[in-house]
Amino acid sequence: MTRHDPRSDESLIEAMNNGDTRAFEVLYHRYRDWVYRLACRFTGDDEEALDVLQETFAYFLRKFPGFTLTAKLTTFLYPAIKNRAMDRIRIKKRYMSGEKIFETIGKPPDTRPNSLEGLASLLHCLPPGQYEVLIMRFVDEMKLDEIAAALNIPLGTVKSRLHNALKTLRTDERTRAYFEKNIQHTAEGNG
Amino acid sequence: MTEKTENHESFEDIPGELIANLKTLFDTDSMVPGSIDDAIIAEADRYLVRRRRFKALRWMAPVAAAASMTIIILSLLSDKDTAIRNDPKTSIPTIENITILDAFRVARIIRAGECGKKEWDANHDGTIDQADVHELVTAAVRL
Repeated sequence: MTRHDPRSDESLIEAMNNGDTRAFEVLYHRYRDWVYRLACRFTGDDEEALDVLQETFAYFLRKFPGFTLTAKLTTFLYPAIKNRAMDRIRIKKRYMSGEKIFETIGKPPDTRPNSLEGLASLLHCLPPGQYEVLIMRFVDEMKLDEIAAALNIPLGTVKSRLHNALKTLRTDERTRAYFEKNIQHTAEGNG
Repeated sequence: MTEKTENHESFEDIPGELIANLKTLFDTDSMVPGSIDDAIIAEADRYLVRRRRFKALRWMAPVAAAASMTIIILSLLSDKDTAIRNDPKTSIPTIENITILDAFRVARIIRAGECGKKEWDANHDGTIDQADVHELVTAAVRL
């Protein structure tokens, strides 16, 4: 019942501003898995991800009453999850600089199927900014303007980072095959 | 413009298999335990209920303060009014503090034929009569 509430995020937030505890439950179930997946990716640890999940929702909760949603909720939550994950990594790896943490955060896990080895190793080689935008777009399925808002960077920067990341994927031998197959399928379809 | 178009085309032209593999790389089998769900929701309940109470109190406090102030002021005014009326020396308050009740009081005294006091001569014509009552009524209404 709670999970299929037809109210929009904006309506639920308005209800929360009026002290509706049910509205929070609906929003929690709506975004829990997304937040948890992201936290798992950033921390690389399921247990740490659960802590990040709790801290993120506690942070969200503390915005009430008086919270106004100016963009999508994912845009608001993304930096909150990322910052909390980075804080946790900082505690674990005190010797590591903030820049280094940013470079390693959210990289693909070390354990993966052999068929994805090439893709994973290429992702490790991408500059952090390009990598992050690529994953936000195609794994988290965020729109370009949402990515720009979440990362607090201009839309043009998002586009250029994504363009460069895709250019690398197209030309690198580890991932070129994906695009060549795609071209063949398109040509066959047209023929 | 050309770059923008190129960018747009390249974003749409991503092989489905690549996107699926990207998602597979970050798939997680783990689930959020029910106990965590319960803890987060219970904390939210506590917090929002607390904030709702606080919000109600925030409105009630000024209202209660204003009500208390009103009661105190009314009580003081009432005391002052009674004191003025009960004071045999003044009988009638100064023209600034006059009320319609004072005008009635003077009117009754004149009708009873009692001797008027000097300070009741509101129009300063040397006599205490109906004209002074009119003067007091006008002053009370104006106030």
